Amino acid sequence: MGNEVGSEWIRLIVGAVIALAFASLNALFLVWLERKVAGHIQLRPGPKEVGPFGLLQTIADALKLVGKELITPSAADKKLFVIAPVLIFMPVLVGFLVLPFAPELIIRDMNLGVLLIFAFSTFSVLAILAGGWSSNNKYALLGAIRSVAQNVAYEIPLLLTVMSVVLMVNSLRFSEIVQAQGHIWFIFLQPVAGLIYLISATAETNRAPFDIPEAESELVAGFHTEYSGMRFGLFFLAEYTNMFIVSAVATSLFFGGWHGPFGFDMKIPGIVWFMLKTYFLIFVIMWVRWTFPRIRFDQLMNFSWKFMIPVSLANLLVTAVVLKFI
Amino acid sequence: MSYWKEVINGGWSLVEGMRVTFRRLYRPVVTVQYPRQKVELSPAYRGHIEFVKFKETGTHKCVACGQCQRMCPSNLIKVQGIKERAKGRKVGTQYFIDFTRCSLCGLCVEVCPTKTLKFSREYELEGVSRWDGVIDLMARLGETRP
Amino acid sequence: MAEQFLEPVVENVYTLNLGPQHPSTHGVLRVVLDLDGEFIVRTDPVIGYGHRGHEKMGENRLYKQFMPNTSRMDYLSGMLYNHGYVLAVEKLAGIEVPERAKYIRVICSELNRISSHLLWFGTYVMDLGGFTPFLYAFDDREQILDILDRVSGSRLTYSYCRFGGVCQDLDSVFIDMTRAFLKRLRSRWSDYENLVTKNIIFIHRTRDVGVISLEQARQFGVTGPNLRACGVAFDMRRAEPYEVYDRLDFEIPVGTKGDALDRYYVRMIEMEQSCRIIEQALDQLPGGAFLNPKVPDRLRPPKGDLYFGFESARGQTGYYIVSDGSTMPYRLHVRVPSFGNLHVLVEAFQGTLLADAISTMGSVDLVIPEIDR
Repeated sequence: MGNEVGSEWIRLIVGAVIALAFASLNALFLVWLERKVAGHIQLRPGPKEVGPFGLLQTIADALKLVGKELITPSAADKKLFVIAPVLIFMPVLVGFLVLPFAPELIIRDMNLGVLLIFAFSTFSVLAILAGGWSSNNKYALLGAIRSVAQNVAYEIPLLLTVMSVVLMVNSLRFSEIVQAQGHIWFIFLQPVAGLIYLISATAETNRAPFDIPEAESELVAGFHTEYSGMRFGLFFLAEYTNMFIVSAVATSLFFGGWHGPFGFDMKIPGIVWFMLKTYFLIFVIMWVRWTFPRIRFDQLMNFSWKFMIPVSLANLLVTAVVLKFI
Repeated sequence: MSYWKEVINGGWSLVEGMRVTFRRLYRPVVTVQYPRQKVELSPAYRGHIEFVKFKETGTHKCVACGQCQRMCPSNLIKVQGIKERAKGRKVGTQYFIDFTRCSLCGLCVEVCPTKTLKFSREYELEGVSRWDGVIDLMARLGETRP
Repeated sequence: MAEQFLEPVVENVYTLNLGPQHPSTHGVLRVVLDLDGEFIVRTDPVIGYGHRGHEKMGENRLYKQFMPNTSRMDYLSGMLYNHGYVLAVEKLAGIEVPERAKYIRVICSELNRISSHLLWFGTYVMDLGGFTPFLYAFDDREQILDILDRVSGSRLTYSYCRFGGVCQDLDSVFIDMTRAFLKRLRSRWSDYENLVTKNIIFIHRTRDVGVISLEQARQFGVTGPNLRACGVAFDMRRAEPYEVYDRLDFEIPVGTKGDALDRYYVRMIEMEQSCRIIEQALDQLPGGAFLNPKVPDRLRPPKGDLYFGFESARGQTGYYIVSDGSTMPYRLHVRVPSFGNLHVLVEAFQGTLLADAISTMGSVDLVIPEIDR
């Protein structure tokens, strides 16, 4: 018995270390990908000088960030100011513990996995608020306030759409949700929920066109205006890791996780399917970012409270009624 | 009803926008990768001024009249000359410009009575001190340049 | 320690310094905003950070020597400012201009107007958060700069016009390039339309935002596309035709509400109209001299003063020149459109959101060095 508990702990620790390494590498890769996608959309090549296809560019940038001085504004709330970047990065890592990369590749297949991810992703609001508030900068504070309002508004449709999926499977366990999509992905059964999930997830990760907390043309850099060096780097990494998490969750909830389309697995390992779909969703989020202008703050709130929440509620209701009578 | 119409039309407009950017995704890049590729200079390109080397004399025709010096809006031209013989023409011996202050208006080139000034085709001008912007036109004339 | 920084002057109102270094003030403009939450209570634009004393410089240099200064006031429409300056001095000194030179100037000016509007289009959408249209617009603008580079030798501060003509003639390559560019630009309208004009987010960010009423526009001396968006078809090219504009057929687009979306439409249509002007001017381009050779270097206009207004990319620009009969102007004053366009914002910002203020400020197309001179 004791041995089993011990092995479980080892599994968890090894998993956490791997998750940390993967999260960092993945974020570096995503930054590169973002710049490449943006570059090609804008008819320019993007980074290409450092390493093959500029792959090492973000590593060079990260090294530069590490080497920079960490400036703390004299009027800042110093403790909160230092904690905030750590606070935003750690909860994101927790998400990796429950993500179902492949049937046998889940660090910890919890029966409340879905809930855990969303519970921890809410932490990032706290970090953003702490960072924005403690900077003692008006732009940062405005960004933080906007961020909180936005995250609260978008958490609700996000969870409501997830609920309609959970209702169909009757489980909050990721592996069971993915298993249920062996033949048909839930995006085909729940197209409205899938779309609303993607929109809310974009807003949840503060990506354009919902990047209001850091709206660069209004609030300079939003909540991280005063951050420099690797503290800024952590906010940056967290944004990209967050993007990966929401895309991975979308993949497992709506796009069949490790399954190929319509039950055709084509002898390709599950992890490849999973990654392909996740990176495709990330690409879509990037593509959206480099296409649209930013929504105004009150329009964003209106969109959430007056459109997304009623629609996702109706969707949930319809799902429940249909499930009841099938 | 008009609300739903706007939602659908709005959604469609977003899709159309994404189509525009997607089409660009696989088009060739239009930027020029500067140190590796270079753009051809326009025939009218204005670099800093330099002397024309006339074939018949093998040198410039500057007579140090000082018209360019007076016409320059930024007073950045210094020209000096000597008269070798009592009845001979004056010949320019020193011609300096402070390119850091030049606005490339071309008035000096236009005003030159002997047409011995022209625009160079230099554009990669960099230096570590402001004195690197001071150009000795007489010395440049000695150098062989295309 | 922190309390002294957070002390508000008026209860519930805090001051936000927008600028002088801010991504969307486009230059060194500082706007002091008093905000109640995110609503603007009071606006106070602070100008003068980029003052270089161009007008004073004009007083102690020859008429000809002031030429490079003109394109540095509004660096986005340098050709238009050049053009206006030579027109003013030519009128003051009574200089004859060959027909061909007039057409050349009109062609180059209109090309410059398109490039200025394209840059405005790009930066405006960037202010609203869309970065990609900005680079598409720059791609097009680059073509114009190449065309103008071909004749003037520079890409931004042209110094191309001369009293009595222009400094270099157009060649057939220039004409071919221009025609090819017009064709290309027209093929791009549909992309711009799909990407920006029809975009629901863009429409919501601009419709009924930053409304400048006709009354306010008149009070603050707003001109150019911003005035035309309020519904007044006032264009110096039509109101007091100079050069050959009276021989060319073009429309003056007007808006109805005077909001940011109207200003956007007016500018987009104006670009198309400029294309038409260039086409007609290229068709009508006569032969002959491009420069009146009789103009002396040291011009001595007769005693007197003169105001000459013309339509720059941002509105009515004017040179007021007082001559005392010497080789230098006694006084040279420039009327710039951005000054009025900026200060009307004090009223237009009242009670709007910060995000709308950015959208409005972008939509009136400010060029700060023009105000500061």
